[in-house]
Amino acid sequence: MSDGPTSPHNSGGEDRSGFHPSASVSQLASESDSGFESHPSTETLASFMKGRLPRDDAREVVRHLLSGCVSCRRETGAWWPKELVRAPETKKVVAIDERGSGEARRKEYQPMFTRVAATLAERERSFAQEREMAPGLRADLEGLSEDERAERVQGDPRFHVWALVESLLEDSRESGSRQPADAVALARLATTVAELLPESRYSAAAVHDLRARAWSQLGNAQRIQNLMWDAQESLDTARQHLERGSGDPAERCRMLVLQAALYGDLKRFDEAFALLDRVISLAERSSEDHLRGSALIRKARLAQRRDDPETAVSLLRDGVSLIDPDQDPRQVLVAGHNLVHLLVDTARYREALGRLDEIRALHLQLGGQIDFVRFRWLEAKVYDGLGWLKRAAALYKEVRSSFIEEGLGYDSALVSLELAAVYSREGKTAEVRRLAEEMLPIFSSQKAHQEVIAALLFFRDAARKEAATVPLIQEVAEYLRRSRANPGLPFRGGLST
Amino acid sequence: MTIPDRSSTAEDISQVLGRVRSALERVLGSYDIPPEDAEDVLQDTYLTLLYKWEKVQCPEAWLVGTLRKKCIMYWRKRRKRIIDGMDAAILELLSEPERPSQERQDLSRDFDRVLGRLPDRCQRLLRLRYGLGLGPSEVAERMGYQPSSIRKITSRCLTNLSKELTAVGFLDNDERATGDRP
Repeated sequence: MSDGPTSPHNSGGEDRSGFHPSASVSQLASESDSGFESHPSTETLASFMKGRLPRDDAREVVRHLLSGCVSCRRETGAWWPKELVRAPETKKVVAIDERGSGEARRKEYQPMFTRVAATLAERERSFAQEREMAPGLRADLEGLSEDERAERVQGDPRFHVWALVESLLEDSRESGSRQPADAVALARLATTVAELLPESRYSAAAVHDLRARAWSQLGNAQRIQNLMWDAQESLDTARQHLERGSGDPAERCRMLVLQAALYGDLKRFDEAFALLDRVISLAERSSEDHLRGSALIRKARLAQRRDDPETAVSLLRDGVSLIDPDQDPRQVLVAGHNLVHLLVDTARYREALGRLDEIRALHLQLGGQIDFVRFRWLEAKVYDGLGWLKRAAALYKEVRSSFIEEGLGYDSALVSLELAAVYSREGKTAEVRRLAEEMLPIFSSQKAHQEVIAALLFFRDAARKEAATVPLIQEVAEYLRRSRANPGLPFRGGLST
Repeated sequence: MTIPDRSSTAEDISQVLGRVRSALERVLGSYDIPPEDAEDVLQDTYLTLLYKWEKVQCPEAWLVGTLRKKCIMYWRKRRKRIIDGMDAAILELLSEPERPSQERQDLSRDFDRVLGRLPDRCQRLLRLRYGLGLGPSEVAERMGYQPSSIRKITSRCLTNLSKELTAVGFLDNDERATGDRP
């Protein structure tokens, strides 16, 4: 079966590269204007309908069609792209013809399968070689600064390989919780390399998927480092690449989960919930249980932050049951950690205390450095809630030092305020004042919004006057939590935020 | 739950392709993809699987689903190419200053005749676009459309115009009478 119509125009010895004999391209318009004496050839019309005709020729074909040539319209009509239809029950776009003329084509496809399989085998071999080269390429980049590495990969095509992107992304993910700054740097380099990958060597769709993965990872690393605006920009870029990618639902799910995590951090809960519901539905349709479990766990966390602990517990239970521990043991850890967090948020300190040992063991086995610091923070909150103030203060101090070391300004400020509240309850006003004095320089170095500085100044002034009561400290802490998601939020010291 | 061991990639992929080949032929056939283009579509699908192999849980289902999407994309791209080409050509034709005046008049007459067969809204929109050379945001403002929806509406009108020029009987009477809704 041939593709396209048989032409009334192409019998005889026509010039197959253009228009019918006797009509040059430049002649065509005037001749057709005066009575359609000549027509574009079948090949020309076919090329036009496939979008492959040079611009000048395309213009003349359109001029001819504008003149109302019925036979050419008939011919081009047969080349018009197939109409796709929507199945009434699912509204999904479905095949044009599930059983009809398509069956006739099947024989024509057969030789093509053999050729494509041969190409695939060749690509597999070169891909395996690339993977072997990746560690050497990574070694060549060792010891260089971030800018030098970017410059090096941009200038040398040896680095423009898929396996290098994968290797960088894997390390960025690994570093995500342990070394957030490294995670950002590695992911940024991965995006640089991914953007340089030749689409012709791989598959354009697959390259866009990989670019989307790299930008998503960069966005997530930036989110972990509290670079929220940068994170959103990276995720926007990831989305643009996904639109040009393979359409693989798993890729979309991964990006959407990370976008939802960002929305959650920004307290845009409705958007985060809507995205996670989409992920759950997409993952269910494509039998991606693990992804569905991840989305449910994320949703539980959001419900928790929305003060809906009962829903959160239920979602968390469902999510954990779908997680594949072999595929992602960290998810099991994260879910357990989140459950303890939930119990703390709902002041179920005794129950939380009962789970600490189990989660600590998982953290020591699987968690990263920052994860463990966050666990210690959680542990301190449990002790704080139970009224074990000395143990809580010791842990808060330890956690605070780690956050300062990692450059996590907001977290160090929040834990400082929690520590200050403990000191205030113990009547240690000098300690409260010392903390208040130390917080400002830390924040000033992090380009904090002036309203945040105003809140910290308010706290410092109160501490200097020995008036930093627990409610005042909690008010400042609450403002910091809210301003993290809303950097322009005004601070109304002593009134209400 | 465990993930299948995919260490022997080469062998596994060829086995998967063998098992799923008949289903892939059916997909290509049901979307009526021309054989000369089907090879590119299929190759792109296979290569995407190769590079994602470790992330794909069920390669058979993945291949069929991805090929389906690529077939849909194939026809959408084909359609877009025609419409974009038509749009660019008309813009160029109508802005050619060197055409003799008689030809310009003929062109204008032919163009008006074609436009006259389109729904009223499309006629207005395309006259603003081609006749006055207005950009999408200006057209949206003149016609009272939201700037966010003008792209879709313009695309619908360009599709109608392209069909009117390249296919006999595409726009039926009902479609002409009803026109597009904003």
